[in-house]
Amino acid sequence: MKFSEVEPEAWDELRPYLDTCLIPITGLTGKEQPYEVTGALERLRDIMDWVEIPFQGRVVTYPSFQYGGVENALHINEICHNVKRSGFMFAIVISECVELRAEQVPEADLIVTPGRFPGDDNQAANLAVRDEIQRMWQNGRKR
Amino acid sequence: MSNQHEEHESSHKPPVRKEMSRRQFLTYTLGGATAFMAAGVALPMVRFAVDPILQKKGEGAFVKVVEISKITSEPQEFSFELKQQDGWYLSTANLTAWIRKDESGKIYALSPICKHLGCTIGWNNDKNFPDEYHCPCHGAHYTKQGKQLAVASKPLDEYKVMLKDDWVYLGEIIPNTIVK
Repeated sequence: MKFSEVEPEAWDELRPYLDTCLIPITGLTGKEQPYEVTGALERLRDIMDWVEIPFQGRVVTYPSFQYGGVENALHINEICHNVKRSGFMFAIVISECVELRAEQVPEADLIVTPGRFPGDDNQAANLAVRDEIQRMWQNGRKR
Repeated sequence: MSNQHEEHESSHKPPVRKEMSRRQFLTYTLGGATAFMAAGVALPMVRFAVDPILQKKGEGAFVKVVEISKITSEPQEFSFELKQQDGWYLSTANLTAWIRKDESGKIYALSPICKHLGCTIGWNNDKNFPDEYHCPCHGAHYTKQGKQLAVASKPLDEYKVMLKDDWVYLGEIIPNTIVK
């Protein structure tokens, strides 16, 4: 679910179940035309659906990094570290166009990009991401 | 003498007119014209605003999903699109249903949304829970009929089912009626 859907009074009850934080990266440069910005946001939304829809009871989506890409890796890694310090067990970084390497964001438990989950169709990539997230949870602390 | 005086007095009283005065006439005319023009502007706007409420809900409530002949006693996953009208906003939702027929041949369709916290369940997707629906998030699992066995507090919801011309049509999601 989105961070904005969590009511303050419900958080203590939900906290044990919502243990995974999704951090989106839009990857804008500022050089895009308005319609290109719209397209970038729509493409990001489409791949966020791979995670948010099947796992909405366990994943909280945090606000996006809108501008910048790989050059922000240090900052993105720091945010992953911070969300885990705040109580999340897992941090997932997701982007449609920014290809981060695992060693650039060691605090991220999973990086989801179309490049990492290629497939002939959207459905194949979607299923591969589902499997990978479940594997991540099984390898971590099981609830 | 006195009669003459009374006649003289009465002749100076203003005449009582029973018909409408000019002032009243103008007031009514202007008021009526103003009200008419205001209604002419306001009524179309009100009609425009309430139009979605007045639209009849026809057969769009059910969506053609799969041929009846393809339904088995083993649950199968089917995806379909449902056009949703929320006020003026028309959107298309991609939905999924797990459809099977029971021992008596009755066809029913379950929603894949876990009743714990809303993750998507799957059929036979965990080897520890064979022949059950299982939620990958927190381990809720359900029987073929959608009855909850752990974690969740309610059975899986179901879709309204309509069978027509050898096809299965699915409608809105309702609370589970299969589990007793």
